[in-house]
Amino acid sequence: MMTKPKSIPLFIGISLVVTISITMLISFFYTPYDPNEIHSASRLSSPSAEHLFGTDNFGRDILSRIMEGSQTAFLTGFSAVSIGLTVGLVIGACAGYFEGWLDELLMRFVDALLAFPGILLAIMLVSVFEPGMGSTIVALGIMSIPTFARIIRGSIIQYKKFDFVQASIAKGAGSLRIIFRHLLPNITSPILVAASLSFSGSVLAESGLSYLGLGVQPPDPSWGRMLKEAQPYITSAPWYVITTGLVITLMVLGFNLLGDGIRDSNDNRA
Amino acid sequence: MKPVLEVEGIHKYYQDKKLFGKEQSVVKAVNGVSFSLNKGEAFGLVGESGCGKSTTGKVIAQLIKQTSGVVRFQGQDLAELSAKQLKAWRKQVQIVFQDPYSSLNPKKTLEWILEEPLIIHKLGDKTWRRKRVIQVLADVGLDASFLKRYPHELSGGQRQRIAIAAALVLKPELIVIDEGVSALDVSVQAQILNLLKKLQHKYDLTYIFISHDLNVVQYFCDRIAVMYLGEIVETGTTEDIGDQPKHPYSQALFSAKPTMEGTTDRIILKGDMPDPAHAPAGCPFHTRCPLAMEQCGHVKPERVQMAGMHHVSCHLYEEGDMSHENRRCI
Amino acid sequence: MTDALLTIDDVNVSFRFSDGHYPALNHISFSVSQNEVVGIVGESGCGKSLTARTIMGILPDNAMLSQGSIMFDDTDLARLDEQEWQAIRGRRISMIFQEPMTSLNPLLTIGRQIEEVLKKHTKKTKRDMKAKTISVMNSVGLPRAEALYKSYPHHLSGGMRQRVVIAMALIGEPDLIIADEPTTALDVTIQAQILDLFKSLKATRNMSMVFISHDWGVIRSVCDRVIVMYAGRIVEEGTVEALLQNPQHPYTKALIQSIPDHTKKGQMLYTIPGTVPGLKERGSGCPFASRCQHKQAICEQKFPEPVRMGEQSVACHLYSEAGVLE
Repeated sequence: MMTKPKSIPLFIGISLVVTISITMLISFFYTPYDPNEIHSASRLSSPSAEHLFGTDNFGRDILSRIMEGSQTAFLTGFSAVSIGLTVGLVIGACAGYFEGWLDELLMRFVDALLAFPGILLAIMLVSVFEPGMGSTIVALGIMSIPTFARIIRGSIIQYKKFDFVQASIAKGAGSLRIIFRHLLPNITSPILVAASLSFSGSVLAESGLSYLGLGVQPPDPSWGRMLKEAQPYITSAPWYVITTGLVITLMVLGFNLLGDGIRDSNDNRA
Repeated sequence: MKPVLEVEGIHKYYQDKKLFGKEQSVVKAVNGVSFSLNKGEAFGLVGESGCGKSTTGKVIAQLIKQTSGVVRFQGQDLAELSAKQLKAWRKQVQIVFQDPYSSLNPKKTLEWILEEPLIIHKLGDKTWRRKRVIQVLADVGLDASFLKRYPHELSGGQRQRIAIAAALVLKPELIVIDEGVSALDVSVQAQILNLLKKLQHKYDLTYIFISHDLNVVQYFCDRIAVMYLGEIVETGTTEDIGDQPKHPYSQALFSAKPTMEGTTDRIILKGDMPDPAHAPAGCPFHTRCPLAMEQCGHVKPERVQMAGMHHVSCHLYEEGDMSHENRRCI
Repeated sequence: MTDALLTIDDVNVSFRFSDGHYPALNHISFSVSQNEVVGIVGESGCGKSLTARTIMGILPDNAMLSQGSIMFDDTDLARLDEQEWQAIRGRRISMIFQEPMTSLNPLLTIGRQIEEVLKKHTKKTKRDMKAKTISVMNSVGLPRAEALYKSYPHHLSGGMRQRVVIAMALIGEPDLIIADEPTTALDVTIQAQILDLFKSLKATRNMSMVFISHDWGVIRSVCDRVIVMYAGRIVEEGTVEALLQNPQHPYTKALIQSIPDHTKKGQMLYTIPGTVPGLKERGSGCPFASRCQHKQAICEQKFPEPVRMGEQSVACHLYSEAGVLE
């Protein structure tokens, strides 16, 4: 059920996310140039009709590389959110529904996770295993568990007190039915908000890790690594840094606005 | 007649845990409640907020487990049931809550809500269930056009009808109505009370009617138990309690009831009900009782039979003692 | 009766929605005399609370007073600006809300909250203000006032909080108090205490009150006169005794008949078919017409003029000027 976006930020958020998603989908079938094709003749050429975003230090088309890189961004974002949401859901739902010692145990574990600086955890994981997409995703996924677990636990505790839940227990409904049929459908919007914020956070963290050389490894294209490669040419070829940086910013902004928008439209209804 | 429900000395204590546990106070929400119900009876539990009437209702529906005491349904001690047997037993006792805005899942259609209990207990096939759902809708005065609607499309009275239908769909023996008409306007309340009466006759239902509204309880119930601070202080027929309350608390409670007939001599109690975490020793009411005697502060009064089904727990009375007929506390 | 303290004359209030204006109060007129308690009864959505808010000048943002005057002494409250209002609210007219928890600020001490009106309106010293506050707290039956003065709302029970709210309303020594369901959230024995308090305040302070409730029993015990509202209209008005013993309007009759009590045990309760029409479903006729047993053709077209009948006045086409049933 799609509701008409009422607020301007939500509208901008949706537009940005949809535009970037479409670009990402197109890149599977079409990019203006082969993203990895080297043209030493046209190194660092400025944006033109031929190369909309210009070319990089190997003469590769920046637009094509950004398009290709969006696949990585979406893949890491999506996978990290999936891991975080799945584990967070199990932890949050169990802790919130059963409470008691199980709640204490699970939430202290989550607190411990939260107390550990996320980027440090990622760096540690990546250096224990080998740097690459897989370990980046796992690290980012673990980082996002606490957010999901806490939000889901809080909402479950809040809704569990509602009379319709009590009435269902009196009708013989079991825990799984209560959690999946009664509680979760009522807490989709806080989960969606958390998911979109966590998505943008993961994209940003992936860029950061790749920038440090710890994330996605060549030849997989990555926005973070493009930013690193662009750094030496910041004065001679500023478009390289600007276009790449701008795309990362727009992506993060888009998902943040989307998350805020969902939350606001929900507040208004309540 | 064999009673449908017997409640014997149920207690429900909550531990008020503090993290660094300096003082662990025990909240005695229900403190030794006993009564029994016959089939087809409407039994009223009255008292003020915090007296434990809702907790008692939830223990009977086994939404919370009692700390001690026995709940027997048709002779069967519920504590002896296995998890599976308990689930099957739940068909027989249903509960309807006060707030028609929170008692229906806002994300589900009315058909889903009414069909769910049948699915839980694996009753019938799709067509049979649909027929049964339409049948209970008709029982509560609604038609099949409501099936695809969501709770937010209904008025408060209609929601309460759906909550009753959802309780009815499993053909229960006993329905606990926890302040089920308190949130409704007078004219809607009258409709729902009439509906409950009609259903009671049609299906020979037994009701436990929990309410703070004495006028409603006196209208609706055959028998009444007055609760104070987790204990039943007096029980009897509606006439016993309404016309001749014995316990000083019942007297104050019923005299304070706002009526259309104008004020009689109203007994105004001093102060509030004590915090259940620090319940007084002896008679729970002695701190506010205008007739409190020395022994009330440390000896808990025994339950005394006045006449017939009229019982009272108060030191003013002795077994079969009719001479205290006019012990009014003014 | 002495001169009226408050006279509301032909007041209309409407709500603005995206698709137009909808009247919520229609031609409301009544008055409150010195030392009189006037009750307003009706079911939810009939405009009781909106009437209170209109008198207090605290209408919701999308509501508008489009017609009429509210004379309080010699001032028309309907024409005051916000600054002029501040000199009146709390000091000459004060309001008591239903929910004692949400009408107190959980972060301020009881004493400070009660004192606030004094701070705004008088130039008393701190000590004088405290003395005054303690004396008001004593007069509403708050025990151990000295200790309570420094405590916070969450330390108090519902009944005590409502006493604090009443103390807040009383400290400015207002001429008029508007109480919107002041005892609805309370238990019966506590309600009896508070109603008793209102009665003694009326006797000792010569106070006037507008008392809103859905409970006829409560209205019966504190009010002198009562107004019955239905869907934004006054349908009947009169002394409490007259209305209870001899209700004239079909709605008043039905409402009183549908109240359960022990005398009706074993009988089915009288019920009114249908529901209160929503704000957007109200026409120019009598709003009760669609649910009324005595409906005539004229009822759907024109709202009846109120007709005086002894101690009461009723707005129904069944009654002519002479006050006989046609």
